[in-house]
Order: sequence, then C-alpha cells, then structure tokens
Amino acid sequence: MSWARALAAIVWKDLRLEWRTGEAVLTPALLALLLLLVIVFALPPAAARLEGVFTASLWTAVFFAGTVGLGRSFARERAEGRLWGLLLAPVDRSAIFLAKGLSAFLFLAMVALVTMPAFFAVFGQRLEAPLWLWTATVGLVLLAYSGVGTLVSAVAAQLRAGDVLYPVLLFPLLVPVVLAAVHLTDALLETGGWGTARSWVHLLIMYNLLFWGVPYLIFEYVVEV
Amino acid sequence: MTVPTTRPKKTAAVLLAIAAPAVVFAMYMALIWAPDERTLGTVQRIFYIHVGSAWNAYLAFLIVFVTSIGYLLRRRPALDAVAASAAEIGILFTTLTLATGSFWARAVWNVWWTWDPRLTTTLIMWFMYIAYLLVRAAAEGEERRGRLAAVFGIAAFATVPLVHFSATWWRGMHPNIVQFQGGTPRMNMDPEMIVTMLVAVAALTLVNAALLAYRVDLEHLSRRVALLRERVRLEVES
Repeated sequence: MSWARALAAIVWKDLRLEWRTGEAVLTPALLALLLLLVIVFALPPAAARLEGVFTASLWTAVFFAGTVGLGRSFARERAEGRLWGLLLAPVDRSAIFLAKGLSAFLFLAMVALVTMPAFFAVFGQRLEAPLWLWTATVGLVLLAYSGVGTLVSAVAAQLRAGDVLYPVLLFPLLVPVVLAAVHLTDALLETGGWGTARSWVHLLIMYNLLFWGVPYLIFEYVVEV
Repeated sequence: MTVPTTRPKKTAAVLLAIAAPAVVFAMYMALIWAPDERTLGTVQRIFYIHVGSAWNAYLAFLIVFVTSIGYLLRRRPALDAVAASAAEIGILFTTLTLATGSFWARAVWNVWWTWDPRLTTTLIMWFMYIAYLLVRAAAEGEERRGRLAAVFGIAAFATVPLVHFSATWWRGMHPNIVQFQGGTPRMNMDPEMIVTMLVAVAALTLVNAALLAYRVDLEHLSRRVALLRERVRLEVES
C-alpha cells in the first residue's frame, strides 16, 4: 500500500467514523455554542459591544471546545487495540501522524464553520475583511492548532488519566497560536487587512512548519507499542 | 535482575566546592563593586541575578532538548535521568527569573506584572516545563516514561527561542541590553557592568552544573531503590 493511499485510507476511516458517532464535530460544536451562551450571560450587558470582547469570546470558545474533539483523536485509537492495527500496517508511520492531523484539521474546520456565524450574529459583529482573507487566517490558526493538538493527543493517549491532562499539556504549547489568532482577528475587524499584525502570520507559518515537521520526523517514537 | 551501582558523588561535591565561592564573589561584584545605574539606582543590581537565572534556564532546557533527542536515538536510561533533572533545574531558574523580574518591575514600572511579550512568553515556557513534569508523573513504565517525556521535551523546546526573540520581534517594554547591529553584538552598558554580568552568569552556571550533578545522582539512587524494591517483592512472592 502506498504512503498516500494509507494516508487517504486513515482520513477516510476517521471521516466515516465521525459520520456515525459525531463525537469530533458535533460535541465540540455544541460545546462552543454553549460557551457562547455562558460568555454572553457572564458579561455585563454593555460589555458585549466593547472592542475586543467579540475576539476574546470567539477564540476562547473555539480553542476550548476544540480540545474535546482533538483530545480524543488518539484516545479513540486506543480502544480495542485499533492503534495496533494501524501500526502493523506496512507503511511509514509518518502517514499515520499526517492522516490523524489532517482529519483533526477537517473536524476543527467544520466546528468553526458551524459555530463562527453564531458568534458574529450574537455579537452583531460585521466582517469588514474580505472573506478569503478571513478564511485564510482562520485556516492557518486551525492548521497550527491541529498540528500541535495531534502530537499532544498522541502523547496524552498513552498517559494515566491522559484525557484529564490533555488540555493542561496542550495549552502551554498553544498560547502563541491563541495570541496570533487574537491579534490577527482584531486587525481584520478593525482595518480589513492584516496590517501591522502581519508578523503574527509569520509566527503562525513558523509554528505550522515546526509542529507538522517535527512530529513527522519523530512520530515513530511517539507511538511505539 | 541486576541492580546497577551508582556513581560516586565526587563530581557533584567538586562542582559545589567551586560554585559556592564563585557565587559569593559574584554577589560581591553585583552588590558592591559594580557602579550604580544612572537612572534606576541600586535596584538595577537585580539585573545580574536576573540575567544569570534566565541564561541558566535556557541552558537547562537546552540540556533537556539535547538529551531527549539522544534518548530517542540511543535509549540510554542515563540520558533520560539527565533530562528529568535538567527540566526541574530549568523550572527553578525560570521561577527565579520571573521572581527577580517581578521585583525589578515593581520598582521600575510600578507594577508586579505586565503582559509584555517577553514576560508572557517566559510564563508560557514555565508552564510548558511544568507540563513536561506532568507527563513524567503520569507515564507508566520506565521505557514509556522516558520515550514520551523525550518527545514532549523536544516539542517544549519550541518555546525557548520564542522567549529569547520575543523582545526583538514584538518590541515590548522589556529592556534589550544586548543588541545586534549588522551581526556584531553591542552592549548598551558600562564595561564594569558587563564584567559583573558575565561573572554572575558564570557563577550561576556553576550552580546549575552542581545542582544537575546532585539531581542526576539522586535520580540514579531513586531508580536503584525502585529496582531493589522490585527484587525484594519478587523474592517475597517466590
């Protein structure tokens, strides 16, 4: 089986599994919407219209809701020795990492697609920036998130109480991505472009290269049985 | 099952014997010998300990990074022991950096803490290595613990250059003493201050080395205890 076909097979498996269980898209999306409710109720009524509150609420909800789906990415494979099945397949193990990362990215993108319009509606926020620029920004953020998240998920799945530890292990690595997301969103909402926040795009690209590249190289050590 | 004998503690003791007077000497230079800073006055003397701690935090985390790579390639338990020890020492020095920085900030900026890029990234680095220790604590089995910790130790090192370059990339309010102009470093400091800083860095590096030697010895001892305990358990059962 070629490397690319193995990759496609795993992604396809994850998508089909998701279609049947809904645990990596539906549950996080629901959680994000519930967080939206909690945030809106927790804020004083006037604060919802303040500058920056929309950005903070949006990304807090997306990042926290995302951990629910991402954390399960590898934990799911532990059940019934599914990871063994994957590891026994005669393909380079980097294909497993890339496939899991790719499906994690697709799930996160779907969560964002479902929930983000609700945030814009509830806060009455208008998107001044062109849609492609917004999509590119969110895409870069979620790509970095899924790269980091997949690596940490693979580690956490092998730990005692890994589900509980997952967010604690993930967020220190993720804070730079959160910072970039917030600064870029603010820039897009205020000026319609990246403007002076452009250096954060560089950080995101660097983070993507780092957290897709390094696990790609060391992944065979991560999942040894 | 064989129980390895531990190395004698000579290295650690020798390092401590050098480090202790070096620290006293560095403190003398920092607190008495170095001139007062023109605007900040005597508070600036925190700087020497602050820079020394920060440099040693970087160094300790670099040791974690290098020994983690080494462990994945060679699988020698001794490398894992060094990584575990260096991570703890790095957290200690990061804590010292944050604390001394906080005192300085109270005196100079009139706040204990501000969300300046370098302060923020240093705090992230601190959390990162706490997470590293959590991975160690939650992994079952020596081989698995070493392997997962090594993977995490490699990933965690991504935060270190982030801390270092944050002050130049995002132009925060954190002072940037060493600046590069066309590739050559330039220090905006009195020569006597530079000497004091270098001595403080060297002295704390010796402390770092001594702590590391002691901590690695301790790690070997604790592994030996675990093996002995296992052997006793097997004998009792049989």
